Amino acid sequence: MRLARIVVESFQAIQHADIELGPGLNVLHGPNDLGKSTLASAIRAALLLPPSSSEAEAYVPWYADATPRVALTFVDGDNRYWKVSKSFGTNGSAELHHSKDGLSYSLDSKGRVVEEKIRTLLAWGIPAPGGKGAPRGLPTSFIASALLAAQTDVDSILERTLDADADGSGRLRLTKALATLAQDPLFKKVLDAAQREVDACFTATGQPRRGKSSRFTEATNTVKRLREELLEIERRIAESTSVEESVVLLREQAVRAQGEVDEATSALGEATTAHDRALARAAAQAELDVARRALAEIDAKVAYVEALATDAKGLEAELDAKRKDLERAEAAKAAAEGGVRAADEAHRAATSADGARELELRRAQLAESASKLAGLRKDASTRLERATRAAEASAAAERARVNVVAARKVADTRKTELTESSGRAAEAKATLAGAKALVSYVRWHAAAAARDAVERFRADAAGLRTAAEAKDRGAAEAASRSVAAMEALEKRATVLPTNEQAKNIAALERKVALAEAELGGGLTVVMRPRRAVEVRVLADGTQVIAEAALSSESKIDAKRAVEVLVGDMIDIEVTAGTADRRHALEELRARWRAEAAPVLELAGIATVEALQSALQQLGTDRAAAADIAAAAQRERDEAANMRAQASALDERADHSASAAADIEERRAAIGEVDLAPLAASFAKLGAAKDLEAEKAQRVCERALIEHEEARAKADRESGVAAYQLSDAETRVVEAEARAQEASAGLEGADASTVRAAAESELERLAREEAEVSSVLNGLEAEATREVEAAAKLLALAKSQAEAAARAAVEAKSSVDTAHGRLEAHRGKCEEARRTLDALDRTGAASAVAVREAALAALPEAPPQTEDLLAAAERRVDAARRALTEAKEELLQKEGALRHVGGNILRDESDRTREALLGAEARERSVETDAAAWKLLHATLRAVENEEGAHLGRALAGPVSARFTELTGGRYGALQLGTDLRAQSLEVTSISGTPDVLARLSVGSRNQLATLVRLSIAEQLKSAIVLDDQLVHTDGVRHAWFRDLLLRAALNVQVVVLTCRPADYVSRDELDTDSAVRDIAGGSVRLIDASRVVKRWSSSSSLQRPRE
Amino acid sequence: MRPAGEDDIVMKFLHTADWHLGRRFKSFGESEELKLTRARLEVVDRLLLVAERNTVDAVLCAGDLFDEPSPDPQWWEGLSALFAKRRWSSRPVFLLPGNHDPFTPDSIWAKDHKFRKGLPDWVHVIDRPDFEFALSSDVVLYGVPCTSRSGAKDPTESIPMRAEGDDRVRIGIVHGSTFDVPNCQTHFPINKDAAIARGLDYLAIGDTHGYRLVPPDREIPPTIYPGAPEATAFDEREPGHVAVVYMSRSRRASVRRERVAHWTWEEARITTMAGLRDLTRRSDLGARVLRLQIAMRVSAPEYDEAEKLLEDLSGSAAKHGRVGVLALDRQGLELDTATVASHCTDLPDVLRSTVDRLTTLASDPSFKHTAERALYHLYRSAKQPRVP
Repeated sequence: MRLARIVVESFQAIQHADIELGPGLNVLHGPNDLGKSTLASAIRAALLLPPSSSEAEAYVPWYADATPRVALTFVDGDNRYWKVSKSFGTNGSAELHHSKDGLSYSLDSKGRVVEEKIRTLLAWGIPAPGGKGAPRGLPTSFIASALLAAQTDVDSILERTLDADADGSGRLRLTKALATLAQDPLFKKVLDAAQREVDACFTATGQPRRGKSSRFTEATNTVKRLREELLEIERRIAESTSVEESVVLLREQAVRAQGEVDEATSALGEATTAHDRALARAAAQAELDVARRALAEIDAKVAYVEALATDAKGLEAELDAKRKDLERAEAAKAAAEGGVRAADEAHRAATSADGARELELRRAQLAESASKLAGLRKDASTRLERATRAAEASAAAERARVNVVAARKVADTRKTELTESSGRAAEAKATLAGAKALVSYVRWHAAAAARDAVERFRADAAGLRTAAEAKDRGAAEAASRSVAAMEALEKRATVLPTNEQAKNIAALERKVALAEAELGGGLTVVMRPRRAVEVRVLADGTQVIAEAALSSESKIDAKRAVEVLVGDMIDIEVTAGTADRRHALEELRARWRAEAAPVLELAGIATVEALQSALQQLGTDRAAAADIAAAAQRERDEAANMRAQASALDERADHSASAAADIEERRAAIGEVDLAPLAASFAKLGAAKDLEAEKAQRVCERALIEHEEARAKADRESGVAAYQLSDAETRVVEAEARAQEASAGLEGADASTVRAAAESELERLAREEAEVSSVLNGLEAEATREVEAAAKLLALAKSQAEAAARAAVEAKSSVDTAHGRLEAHRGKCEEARRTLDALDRTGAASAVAVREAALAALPEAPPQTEDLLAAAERRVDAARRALTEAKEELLQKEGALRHVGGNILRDESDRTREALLGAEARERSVETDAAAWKLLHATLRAVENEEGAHLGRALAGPVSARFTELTGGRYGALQLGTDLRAQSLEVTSISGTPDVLARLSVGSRNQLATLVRLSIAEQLKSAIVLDDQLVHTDGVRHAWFRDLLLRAALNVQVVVLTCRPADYVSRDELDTDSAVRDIAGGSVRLIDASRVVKRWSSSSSLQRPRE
Repeated sequence: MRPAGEDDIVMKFLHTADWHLGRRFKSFGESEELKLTRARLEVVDRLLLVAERNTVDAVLCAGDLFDEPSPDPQWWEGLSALFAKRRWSSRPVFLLPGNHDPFTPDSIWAKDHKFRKGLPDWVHVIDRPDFEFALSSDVVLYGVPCTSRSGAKDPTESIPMRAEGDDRVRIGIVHGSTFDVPNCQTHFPINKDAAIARGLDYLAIGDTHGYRLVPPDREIPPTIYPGAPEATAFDEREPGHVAVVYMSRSRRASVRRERVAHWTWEEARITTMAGLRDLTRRSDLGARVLRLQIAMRVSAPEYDEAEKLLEDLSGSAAKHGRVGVLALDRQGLELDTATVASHCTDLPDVLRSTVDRLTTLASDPSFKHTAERALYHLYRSAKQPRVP
């Protein structure tokens, strides 16, 4: 790196400065306090300090309120020009431009990126700004201290250590630059191999490389990609499995539901059969009851007729008795008339001569009278018996009337019950109508809801499709972008090499560098012209002398080659190194030209590092394009999923539409009724409105059936009661008829009266018999009295004859009455018999038998068949609903199933998992391998250090040699640690002398530090700024340093800031009017600071004094 | 089963399935994967040659012919080219969409797709569930395509039952899972008695990648998975075949399977150096897809030899490997660290010290593998001849 130009504005004491620096030694001279050190500060600020850093507050101009600005142009190792421009302050800014020719620049970066980019370019061991724990203020490092140390910090390099660097890039750079240890060739071979592998795998700080070309990156990216793929696949498998399990479960559920429907339907069939059977049995039983009642009625009529016949026989018997009574009464009348005639004859006999005969006759007459009295007593007993029977018939008629009253009461009760039952049945019928209306209303409402849902489902489906189309469009655009990006990348990739090629090119570059380094043993050519000749000299390809007439001795130092062109006479080329190494280098360069250069040219890229960056960027861009493509695919998948949902919604809409198809019929089913009460009832229903309404309807239907049955039962019982009343009334009539018939013999008299008269007559007859017997017994003794008695007996006989005549009249009347009653009874009996003859008892009995057989033929039915039937119906309804729901859900899930991956995803998952396992194994292998190389490298280094070979020795060697030369052999070897810290300095004249480093004079210490810094700059091929480093150096040593710097400036750029320019050039050379002057063939540039640096004027100070 | 007499044959056809054109093999390296993916198209050419050689009357391809419904054009263009170079006007080919390549509006089977439009007229795509094709007056073919990746319906349910009096040879072709396949319920389940139930004399099915009868003990009427003509995984049993089927007048099918695969998939575990040396001497490795697991502990020279032998098997940037496709698991290859030092006595002190340190580290389990590998790197770097 070398500095090309620095432009400073409003920077501390400097108002303006614009300085172009030469490639060799630059002597910027001027008196004190002119701003030379400020320029050094400006260089440090341009390269190292973030523009908004608080450290920049120190840069504000002393005399003006202006923003400090610095623009520094530098050239990197690949001859690329970089121009960094910074404005310092709170709102500071930075820009970095690059150029191939130093003329036309392009913006490279701005802002914070500038710092990062510069620090990467420099690789001085300063990390990118802003990191955690990053130091504040002006950042520094070992190399920064070596190359840009401030005037006040001359010998600090002897105290610094590489280990203090915050970033490993400085160590790496130095390690590469100083990798010239005198190592065992085999050790070096192994170490080189390890170093190559470590460099390929790890950054300078030991972190695994994650760039595009990193072997970790490929393995890690593969693992990462496969993990992401696997995660995505597993996510889709989870979705797929969920749908598949749902389908399987729903299928099983549907099968179970179908089974339940079949089972419930079967149970309903059985219940219906049982119910029908029970109804058939009930009907058969009712028919049997009817038949039995008909038969019983016929039998009752038969009994009635038979009773009438029996009664007729009684009446006939009674008539016969009456007739006999009449005959007896006639006989008694005749007997009484005979008694009158006998008594009259006895009386005439008693009063006549024939008294004795008459007495005898009298006795006979008395005996006959006694016999007639016995007959009269028997008749009286018969009457008594008849009167008793009439009284009993009357009592039976009274009981029958009581029965009629009771039957009428029962009939009235049954009639009331029938009325009530009919009322309840009518109410149940009305309630059922309401329940049916509510069911219809619920169904109509469901249809209306389905009709509404159709629109909603369609709208949702349309929304989903629109969204899906939007996603598809987005996905198509993303895919298009991805394809375009990918095409652009592939186009770019065609001009870029593969990673392997890039790796080979990098390796080739390292080999060339190594070969050049191995070649670079150094050589010195001394020219002592015998006369002035035109000479042009190139050292390591750089022109160092171009004299038209060179006459003085010139010494040229080079690392690898010196080319001397003497006028048109001769060209001499002197090359360092052995022939083998030169040959090897040429071969490598030829390979570079043949293999690497065309690749870089094709890619339009100057350096391998830039090439690797380009490849890394290509990979990053490819990954980004792939991400876009993946995102597009995800969008497409989501769109497909949304379409599936839309299809499912359509299916639901179709289903709802079919459900709403008969909405008008459902409305008509409600009828023209007021809907408000139905709506109120509907609102009171629970969630399952249709079920509840249908349940209520069934309850009402059952209630109606129960009330109808109760009414039928009451009707039947009312009929029975009416029949019983009618029967009782008939029996009353019959009983009354019998009582009347029984009392008919009493000839209208009261039975009790008749009975009392009969009993009285019986008593009288008993007395008469006793009297006749008494008369008959006293007849002999009272012969005389007999006449008188005969007269009395005659009177009595006449009286008895009159009574007998009356009894005969009465008996005749009784016979007539009984005959009339018998005839009336016979008419009634004949009518009943005709009625009976019209009835078919055989048919009725046959009907009963048939009904009994029919009833017996019907199987027994279980109890409560109505409840079972209702329960079975409910079960069927529930099972069908469950089946419908399961089928609907299954349909939906089967729709979703069409969009899942299923076994394909599982297969994909297995393959991806296997690939992931392999990739993880490869990643582990790469990591283990890299770690092994790192371990090997570290172990080699550790062993090497312990065995005495380290970085410090490489640097200490040339420094010690120069310091020994400078001091005339006074000092020997300088010891630098592995971290390049100065550890000790030997004094050659005193063997075993302890370290004198700390006891060196300020001048010697400054000189030693300058030598260390210069050696580092030479190894790094980097510019170095020396700000009055040697103010404590005497003239002799200063002259030595001047020669050293002139030689060093042939390879590296040296910028000396001094107030004593004569220490570096002759006074003649200083005697010039120009601000800038190149001398020594352009290898030295004198810059008059007083001419190129404009300080703030005192007027500025007056205008804007600042503290 | 033996073919019936030629006189008795009313129909000969070739039954194949599961080509999976375009399938990726992620677990293999890029070049190995290419070999396996290319092989899928190559085997189709071979099986079409088998059809020609056997002078079959028809070729039935029972699904999953492509690995996805919209494969990269190179796959369907390749297949089209195979058809295009044949003039089979009297030998129809029937292509059935499977669950990997279902018939969807944006699939390769769509009527407006270039592939479909470019097919010869003797190549028929079974693109509807009521597909019926009279192969002759005596033989009829029924086919039911997959229209999605998953499905719960048995595709054979769409095939009409044999009508009374229909004594033609009835052949069915579907794609799906038989009862003995996991998750068959949602993967186009095929009833094991479908051939009997639908009155089919042969049911050509696809999905499983190994050749097998379903159920295994029923030969008449046959329901057969011919398997993938080229295997796709190590765990597949008897892949790599097609079925050549002879139908007799009495409607009996005789089936002969014929191998068409180029690649044989094999797994091997090597535990000794002798075994590894024997393996490398085998002459049949060129057509093998070999999953090789190394499990042995060897000395440093043997380790070096093992590395060379493994490189011989797997190949390098400069030469092909001896194994056609190698999936190498070398995690079990261990270096006997205890003996490394004895093989490094000729090295400079600094390297021997390094060997000692690494050997000590290798005894620490947390550094074992890293230190072993570092020792190997040291050994090999130091021992291999220097490049001038």
